[in-house]
Amino acid sequence: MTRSPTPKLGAYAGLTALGMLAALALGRPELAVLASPFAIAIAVGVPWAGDPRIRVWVHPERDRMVEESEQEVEVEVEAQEGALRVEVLLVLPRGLEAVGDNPVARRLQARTSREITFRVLARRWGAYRLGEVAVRTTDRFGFFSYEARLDESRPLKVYPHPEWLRTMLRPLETQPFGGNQVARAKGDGIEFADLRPFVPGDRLRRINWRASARRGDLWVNESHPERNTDVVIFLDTFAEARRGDLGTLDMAVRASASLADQYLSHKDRVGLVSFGGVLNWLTPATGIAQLYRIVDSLLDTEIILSYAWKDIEIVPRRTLPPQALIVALTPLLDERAVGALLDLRTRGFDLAVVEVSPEPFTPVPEDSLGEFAHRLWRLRREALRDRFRTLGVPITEWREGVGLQAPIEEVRAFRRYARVRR
Amino acid sequence: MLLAAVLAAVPALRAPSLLALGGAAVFVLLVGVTSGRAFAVPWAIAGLGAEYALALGGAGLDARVPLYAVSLLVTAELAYWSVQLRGTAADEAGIAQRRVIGLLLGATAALLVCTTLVTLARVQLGGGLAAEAAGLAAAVGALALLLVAVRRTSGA
Repeated sequence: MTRSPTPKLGAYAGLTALGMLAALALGRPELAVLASPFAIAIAVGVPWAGDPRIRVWVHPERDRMVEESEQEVEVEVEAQEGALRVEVLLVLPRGLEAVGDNPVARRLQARTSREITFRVLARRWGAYRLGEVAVRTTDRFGFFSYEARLDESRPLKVYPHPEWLRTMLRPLETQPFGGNQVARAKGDGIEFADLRPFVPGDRLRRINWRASARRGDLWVNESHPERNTDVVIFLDTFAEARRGDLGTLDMAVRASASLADQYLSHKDRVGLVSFGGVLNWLTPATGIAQLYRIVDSLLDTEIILSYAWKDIEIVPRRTLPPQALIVALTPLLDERAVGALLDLRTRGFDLAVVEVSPEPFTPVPEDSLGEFAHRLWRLRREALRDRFRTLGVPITEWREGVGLQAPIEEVRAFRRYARVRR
Repeated sequence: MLLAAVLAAVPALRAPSLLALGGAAVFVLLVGVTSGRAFAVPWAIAGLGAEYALALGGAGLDARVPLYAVSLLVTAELAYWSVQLRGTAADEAGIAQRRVIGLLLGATAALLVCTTLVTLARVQLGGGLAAEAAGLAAAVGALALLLVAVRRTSGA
């Protein structure tokens, strides 16, 4: 532990010296007597001062949390020498907050460990390290302070708070594997599609006896097969708009995790492309393991400033399978992300854009010129949206405080009446 | 603060003109404690001590000085405690009681030592250059010992 003298030691030494010298100079023994308690305190306290040699163990309740949830973290403190007052601070990274007292002061007896419980609130998603503890104490007379930062940290993953979703975007095309999406093609399945005349080889159980009786000939039911789909979540990480603890990236990450969870629970294959200063991707796959891969990848998402021009060519081809539905979450703030999305559309990908609106995070300037610039900026954004719509890309604005279901429904409505231009 | 006010008032009973000095010392202490600035404490204590020294005048040995000395120590300790409590760490129950007990024990021990010193000061050993030199050497030696002890333990 780092030992340093406190101001009290210098003050007592100074008072002692002053009293003694004044006593000598003035010939008044009372002044020496006045100084003697301070001298005695130093004479007794300084030789007794010793390093308490504090050790710390940190025991978090869990190593995974969900945003806005709490957990208890037990900090076990032990001192080789007793200390009257030990201040213990659980150092929390930005994004984690203590609920209740932090730091706390405890009395430690020699070679006896004490457990201190802190409650930690995960304010923001992310990958953290939790367990660094700062301890500070003084000797019995308060002449020396002992400080140490003891690193017992271990990884803590805070998953984004899920957005509530009831319905999902259905892709235009399905893949050949079994799943929960009703395919447009006809084949073996549950959903009724059509009637057709019986041909040799048809199963008897597919004959529609009521239709056959009415028409005097054998007719069979046709159905839509249940297939899975490929969904690629395209996360724009070039830029974000932020105000305080909330920003467009936070909203996009929460939406990405929720979409991945929903699609994977429907047996679809889900991939991720994090397109920004650093390119991250996950090829589409299915299952709970893929969900963890996606969420873990999202936790590392951050805005990294880059001036390098990047287009969709740098994304590996296998990441974007043909006929995949690409759900883009973007604040439409960076030309490179916009260009990449338009490029995807012109290549025939089934694209839907959820614009995580930066407008709530951008206050309107009060001066007339600033207000004019703001209006111009909004008009340019509207023109950009029109550009997507002209290409047949459903685009919807998602604002802070609105559930993700609303923009998803808007996209669904758009796709119900619009068809992809080939 | 109450103790400091009493310490400022007691010498002023002998010399009312010194009440301003005592009042200033109490004010400095008040500012230091309320603002959490520990460096104000020794100045306030020195001020109170100076007031006491000036109030002594040409009178004989004051028998009440051990009480005054211990009160100064207790005032300083309580002031530093107050400054420490202005930190963010929340104390657990029991720390304050133990600290008060420790302070009372320390004050009692200091009172005994001070009383012994006053008793020794009353003893007439006969003056002379040799006695003066021995006293000076003892005072300087005591200070040097303190400084050496402080430096050694600071470097440890």
